[in-house]
Amino acid sequence: MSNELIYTLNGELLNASTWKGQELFDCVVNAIQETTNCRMCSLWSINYNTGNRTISRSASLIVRKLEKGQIYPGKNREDFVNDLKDACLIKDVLQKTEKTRQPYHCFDIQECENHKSKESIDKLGLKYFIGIPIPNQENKIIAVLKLFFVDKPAIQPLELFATTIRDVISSCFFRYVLYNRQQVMEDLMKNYQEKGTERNLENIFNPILGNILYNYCKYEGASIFIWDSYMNYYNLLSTTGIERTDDRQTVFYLAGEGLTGKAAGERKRPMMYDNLYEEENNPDYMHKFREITNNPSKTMMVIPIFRPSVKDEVIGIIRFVNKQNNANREVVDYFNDSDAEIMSYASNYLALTIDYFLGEKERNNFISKISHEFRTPANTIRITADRLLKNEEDESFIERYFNSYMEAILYSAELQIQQATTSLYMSKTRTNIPRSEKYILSKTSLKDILYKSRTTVIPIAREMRVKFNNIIIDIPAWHLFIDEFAFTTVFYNLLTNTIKYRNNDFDFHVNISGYETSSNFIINVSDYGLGIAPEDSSKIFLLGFRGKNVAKKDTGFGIGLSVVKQIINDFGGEIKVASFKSPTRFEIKLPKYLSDDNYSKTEIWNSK
Amino acid sequence: MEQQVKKILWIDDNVNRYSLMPYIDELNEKGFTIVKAENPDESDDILSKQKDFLCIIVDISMPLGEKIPFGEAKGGMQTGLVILKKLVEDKALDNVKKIVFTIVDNAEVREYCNSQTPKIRYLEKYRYFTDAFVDEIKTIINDGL
Repeated sequence: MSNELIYTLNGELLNASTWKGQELFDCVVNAIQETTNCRMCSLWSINYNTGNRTISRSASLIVRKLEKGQIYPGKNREDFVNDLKDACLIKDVLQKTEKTRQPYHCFDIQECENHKSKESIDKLGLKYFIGIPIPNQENKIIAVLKLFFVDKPAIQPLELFATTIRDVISSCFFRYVLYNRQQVMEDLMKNYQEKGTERNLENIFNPILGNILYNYCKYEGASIFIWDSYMNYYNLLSTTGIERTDDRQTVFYLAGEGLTGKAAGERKRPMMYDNLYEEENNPDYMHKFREITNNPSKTMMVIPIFRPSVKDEVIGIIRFVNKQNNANREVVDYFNDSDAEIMSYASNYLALTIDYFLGEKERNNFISKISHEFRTPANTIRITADRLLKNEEDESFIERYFNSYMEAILYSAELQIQQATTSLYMSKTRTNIPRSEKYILSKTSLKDILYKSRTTVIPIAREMRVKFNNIIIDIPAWHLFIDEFAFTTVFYNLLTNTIKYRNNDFDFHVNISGYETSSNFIINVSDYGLGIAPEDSSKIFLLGFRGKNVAKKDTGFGIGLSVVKQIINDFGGEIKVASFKSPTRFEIKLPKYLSDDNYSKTEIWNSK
Repeated sequence: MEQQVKKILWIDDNVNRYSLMPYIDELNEKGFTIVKAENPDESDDILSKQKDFLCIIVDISMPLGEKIPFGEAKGGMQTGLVILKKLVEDKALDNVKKIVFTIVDNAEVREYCNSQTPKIRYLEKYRYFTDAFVDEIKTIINDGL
């Protein structure tokens, strides 16, 4: 029996015209049905990345074959899939084989405790069941092969049969992953060769969504959104078709908003949803924008696209709606880990393309932002000086306005210098040049830098009518080899934020304190300001991002904290939000090796 | 006879800051009274009590306040547009001129302003010295477009 099976399997696999997964798995199932008395054979992948889903629902059908001539007597196609998912007995197999990895036998299916579709099984006359767990290279069960029999299984010895089948299928899964990875990359490269010369990102991505990715995961609708650092949202780049339920002219997804934004925001990993209408998914207004599909939108998979050049920065999102069952494409199926794996793999290529093309757009966005930022203080200086000059001979005017106007000019000039410095470091930190060329190191008292930073925010404190003396600096006398101007920029931006986003319900008060650990200098900047929403904690350092709560109180372009993080990271440090509210506390960790300048001789400091 | 107060509502988060101070001083000297709102909540509050303004000046990039949704105002980048639409819909303000006065070039807002009848003037801050600005405001109030 086992020899016959092996020969048949080999024959089937050799005959496979491609190494596409579906065909490989079809071959295996064909071989089993040809060499055994199995009435129905199906292979299911197990999905571990599905949140609250039950195990049985988290399985996805790869292939299922009835003995020739048999037709499943289901009500309709969707019931067919769902019935089988519920009746799949996978839970039994996983529970019973968890330790042994040996096949699970059941000689009376109706007695299986997790069996939920007795009626369907009755109609097919199935009585015997064998479940074979399929592990991957790490010995994690990634699939279950289910064999149903009307008569007693004529397979001897069963253990050898199960081991052979298990190894073949496990190997097929491995081949399947490799084949798909190679093939999707070839397809994407071919598309780029055809469309790349058009220099239009949308033209490159339309065929990717319309055809290429569809070959690796059947879906009814898909869209790609890319980060717009100027407007602070993910904007639609390409779609297979999207419908709007209101009169909005644009589709936009804010970072962390809705189910789509979550994958890019707090989660930063592929997200899969079984049912968009379930209450827990809480579809908000963003879901007014849905892909056009034949079936109502039900299942969804969202893949974050990570920027290759900046760690953890999500520059785009791909969203797939309504997976199609491989056998019957009109049936809505569940997305699974395998879909997420191949699409995440493909997203690496998409990331390179987006990063390359976005470079120019981001530079323009950055210039626009900086221009707007610069215009305000420049215009203030201009109109204030103009009014002073036009009225210089009017003594009462001078007496009345001179001091306040000179203060306005001074403040605006200081603001402009700080903005220019911030943008300079913004530009430097995002340029691929060695750190040794970005920064000028000198032995500097961190306390002096903090006092200097506090002085630079005096004008803004005066304008906003807060007492800058309430910025208390209490750190040890640390002397570090750092760039004085860069770190003044860091603390200028942090202190400006404490002033801009102060909470008027409390007295303005900022505390800057520090202590040492064995390997780090720790600096805490805390205030009783508006606070930071916990869900924004991972995004506030993203270029262009602005938190919801601060947007209620003041405007800004989301540049400052991005620069702060980049500078601190360049010096081997870290910054995080250690406390979100009452007080809000930023914790800056700087490595002890900044105490001397040896690090400036290292390769990491001097190489790109 | 009691002289009528020439009131202007100015909705701008910088309305109490240095950057608008010279404009407001100039308007005050020319006999205008400026009612200041730093955010949409303050302007709502003011407009619920008084509507007898000669004109309402609105900035575009502004804080959201408590009522305007983050997404609708694009995180504050277009708060002024949301306010402007509400002002346009308010029939009691039909005869009050609306003016956009902003540092930001925003094509969407400009398009909205141009689509209104009569058109809403979109003025860029950096194009106006204080005296020219006051002249422009007077022209808009007196003649419309």
